[in-house]
Amino acid sequence: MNIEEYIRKNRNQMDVEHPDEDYLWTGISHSISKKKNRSRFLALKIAAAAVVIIALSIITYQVTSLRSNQQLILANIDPDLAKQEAQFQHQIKAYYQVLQKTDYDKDQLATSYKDLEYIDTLIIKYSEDLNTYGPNPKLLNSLMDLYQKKIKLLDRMLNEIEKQKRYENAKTNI
Amino acid sequence: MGKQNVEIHAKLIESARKGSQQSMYRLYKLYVQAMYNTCIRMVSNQFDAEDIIQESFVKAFNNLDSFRGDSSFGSWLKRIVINQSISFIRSKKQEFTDIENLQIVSEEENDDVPKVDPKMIHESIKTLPEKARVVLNLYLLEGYRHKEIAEILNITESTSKSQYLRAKQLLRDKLKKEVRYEY
Repeated sequence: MNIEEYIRKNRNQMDVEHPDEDYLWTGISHSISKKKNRSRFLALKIAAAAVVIIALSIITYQVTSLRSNQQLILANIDPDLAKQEAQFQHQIKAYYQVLQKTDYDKDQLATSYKDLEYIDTLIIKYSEDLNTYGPNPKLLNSLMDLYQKKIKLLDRMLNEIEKQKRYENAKTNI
Repeated sequence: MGKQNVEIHAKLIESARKGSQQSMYRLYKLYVQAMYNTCIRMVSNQFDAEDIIQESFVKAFNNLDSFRGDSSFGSWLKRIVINQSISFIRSKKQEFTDIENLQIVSEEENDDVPKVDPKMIHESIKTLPEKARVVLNLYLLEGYRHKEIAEILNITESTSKSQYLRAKQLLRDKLKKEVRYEY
């Protein structure tokens, strides 16, 4: 019998080696789980990014709509306050624009976000009160105070983000 | 493969496609030995073969969606193993060139082979020079044609044939020698 025929005839009996199946499987299952986790993490990241974008859009929308209504009210009440309010609004808008450009982790700023939301709720409430009850010096002062608090808070948030970025850079450079 | 086996395979593949690691493990257990033996005959080194087998199974499980069932799962998997093995050999910068100075003896005169244990053939194949070994594996054991081998290895058909003849001659000589030692 020639060598080709012999080998072809015995082909099925030539798989004689037994690999270490458990060892090989450990590596395989590890790689598969890692890929699965990576895609799960990616999906979470996308979802988180979507939530942040939606939240920022809502806040920006609220601030913008608030600004136009508020200006109307304050313009009728006190032109100087209306001017000051316009400046505050301009500053807030600029902060939001900077905030949107940073790739920050929203979870790390969760408390600040809650504070921002609370301030916005108060601004809306005071504006409604001004609309209903007319000019009230206490209300007006509180409103101006809220704008200033909001600006301070946004400023602090940006500082936090900057600090985090510096820390990350320092860590990669070590 | 029996009809029942085909159905079990189809179920396993479907469930592995959905991400079941248990089904992947069962498929792995069914095929790992055959794949490992094919691979180690190609690369002739245990550690390289282990790496290639792991990469091949991971690749297969991650790409189960591209398995359409035109061929059997085993053939599809084996193609992955063979491709991975060839990529590995290529990464070592081996060129599959023509053989110029080898005297290939006429086949009719010396082609008889002693009856040997298949294990001995397996081991002897692993000791062949790399280029000859790869061509012999693809042609004789995996059923590729010289035209296909030429395309896969980026060589001419005549190079494939000459490497094959060389491999056969070397293997025959080795087996004869082994038998002489045994008796």
